Amino acid sequence: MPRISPRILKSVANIDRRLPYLLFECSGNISDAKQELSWIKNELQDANLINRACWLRYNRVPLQYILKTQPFGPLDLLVRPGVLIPRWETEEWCMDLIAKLPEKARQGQFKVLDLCSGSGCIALAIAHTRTEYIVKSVDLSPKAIALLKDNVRKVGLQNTNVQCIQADILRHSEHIYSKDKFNLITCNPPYIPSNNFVKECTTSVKLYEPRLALVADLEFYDNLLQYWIPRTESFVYEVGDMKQCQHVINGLSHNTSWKTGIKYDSNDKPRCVYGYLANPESTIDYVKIFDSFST
Amino acid sequence: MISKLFGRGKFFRNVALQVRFNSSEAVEFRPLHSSLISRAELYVNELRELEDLLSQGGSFDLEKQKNFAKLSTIVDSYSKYREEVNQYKELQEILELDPSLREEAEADIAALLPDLNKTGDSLLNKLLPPHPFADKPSILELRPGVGGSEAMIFTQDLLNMYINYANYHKWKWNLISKTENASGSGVLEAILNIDEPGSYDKLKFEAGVHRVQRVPATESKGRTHTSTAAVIVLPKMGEESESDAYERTFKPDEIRIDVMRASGKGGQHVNTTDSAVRLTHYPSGIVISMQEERSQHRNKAKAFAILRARLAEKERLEKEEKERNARKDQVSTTDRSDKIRTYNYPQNRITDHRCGFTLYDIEGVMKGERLDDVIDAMDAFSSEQKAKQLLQDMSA
Ligand SMILES: C[S@@+](CC[C@H](N)C(=O)[O-])C[C@H]1O[C@@H](n2cnc3c(N)ncnc32)[C@H](O)[C@@H]1O
Repeated sequence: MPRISPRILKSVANIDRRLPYLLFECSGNISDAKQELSWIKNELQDANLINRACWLRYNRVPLQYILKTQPFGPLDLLVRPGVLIPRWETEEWCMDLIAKLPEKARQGQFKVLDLCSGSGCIALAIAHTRTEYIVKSVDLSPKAIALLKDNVRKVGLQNTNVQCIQADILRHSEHIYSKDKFNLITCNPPYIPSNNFVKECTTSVKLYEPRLALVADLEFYDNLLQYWIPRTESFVYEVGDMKQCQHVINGLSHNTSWKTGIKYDSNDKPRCVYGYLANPESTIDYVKIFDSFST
Repeated sequence: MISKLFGRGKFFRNVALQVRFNSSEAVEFRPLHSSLISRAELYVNELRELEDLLSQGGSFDLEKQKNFAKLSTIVDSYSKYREEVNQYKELQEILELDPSLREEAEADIAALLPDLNKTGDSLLNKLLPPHPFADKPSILELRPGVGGSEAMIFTQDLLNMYINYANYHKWKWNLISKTENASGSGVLEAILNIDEPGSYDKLKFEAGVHRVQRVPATESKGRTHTSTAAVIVLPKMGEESESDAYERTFKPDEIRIDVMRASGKGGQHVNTTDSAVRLTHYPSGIVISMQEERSQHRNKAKAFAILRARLAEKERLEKEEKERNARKDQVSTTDRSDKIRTYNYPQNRITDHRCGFTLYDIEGVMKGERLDDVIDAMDAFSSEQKAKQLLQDMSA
């Protein structure tokens, strides 16, 4: 916990007596705390609920779980404990990617698979903005699958080509949508090595978000190289550090038909590793998609 | 015509008396300049050609349909104007030829003139080139000027006034952002989005410095203070599409987007709620910070919308400036004057300094119900100015 001087706590209490509770999760930044309070007030209205929310924030409960929603691109998604809260970094690359995806695919001609879907943010943002695409998703966690299904309804995609199944991709990759080949596979896999977990994650993440969604090292990138590369024409995987990017790029370096690259986020951290076939079977121009995606 | 004259003669006698009594203030006929009339005649011909085309079974594409609608309203307005001018001329003739009908004719002229001038104004408005952003929705930015916390309170009052005004017209609006002062009584900055197409055309007259004179609630000695707030009115340019299309309209090296520069690894390691974005546009030096939304993506979209609005407005002002400089004699202009309006609470008075319009109903205006009185006065004033300019340009 950051130390915040009693004088500051007292002065913000004069503005609103609930602000001091919010100050801790906002690292002492008063304007951030005010902004949080206004979000809380906007969405909860009832005074008791607002007070309770501030108390929960003091206890490091993520704001997104308290408000039960999180915007993601054009969507307002449900979020709940047991399933990872979508991050801004994911939203950023995902919306960048969508902007580059061909708009006029013929019905059912563009197939996307989103692995480790969690709340479904990536899959649903794509399905929402590219309605002719076929979008499939997988997650191991029953809580995630239940939430994903609720979100499909929440954003009004229940009668469309969006599918999801519960499965362990580290064990049963070959059996997942086994007849399908994909144009694009997206994945935000768990990527925090277990020995870094305690040291590198914030308290709120450690206390309230599911370990299953967070902890892994190279397993999912190896799984990509081994099982998914033969079944797709392109992929975008989120990463936690450069080492994971390099692992994937090295794994494909002997294979000259694959082009690979790294995308950085607005905070200048390597955030995605991507790859595509320069001469795919389909007529899709991946060079065009990924040329501008990396910048 | 004459029979109508006789019929109404008695009824208007009082009016006529009154008019003669105030003859120094009596309304005068302001005929439209002949060059404007010839312009209107051109439209009449153009409409006739279109109608011929239509009668020969020609088909209208969207462009033609639009043009047809535009021409029809101009020509309708012009016919009405011509008709009323003819009436006026007939009455003038009677006045000269038949002294026995003098009183009746004067009464009818007095009754006709306000209508005639109104018709003339409305025709004039249709003949003037429309404002480039006339059909756009609008974005209002409000900031306190001089006067400390009273200025912040006044800024909040103005914000409420525009929200009330939007509600009054049943226009959709939303607050893009609002920063309150520490005590929460006033506003340091607010950005209001009004979605109604064409709202820019009305609200554009609101741009400038607004001045308030009143006894602040905090003033113990009962002294009247003067404070100000600044309003900027921007046209909202085309809807941003969902898929980041807004970013594509700028070259990457013109734009810089800053987000929270957190140390640490980001991504799954933190679940921050800080979604603030700062957008810098190098060529213009415009910087926009946005933190109101819970998603960075949405803050970005809003920041880009504001950037585009500001750039469009800036461009328009620069163009106007150039045109003004190109002219020999400068005309007083409605867009630039700094202190545009005074809200005097003790006197319950609102005065617009550009057009000299005064109204004694602060509450009505602040409730948004009578703001149109002020705006309409400005509108009339501004088309008069524009017409003057047009005539000068045409005779130059
Ligand atoms: C980092 S979260 C990503 C969630 C979501 N795609 C997002 O970006 O917010 C990783 C997800 O992978 C799921 N997961 C973990 N191990 C898995 C496995 N072996 N097979 C399938 N999904 C798994 C977790 O349940 C979690 O929802």
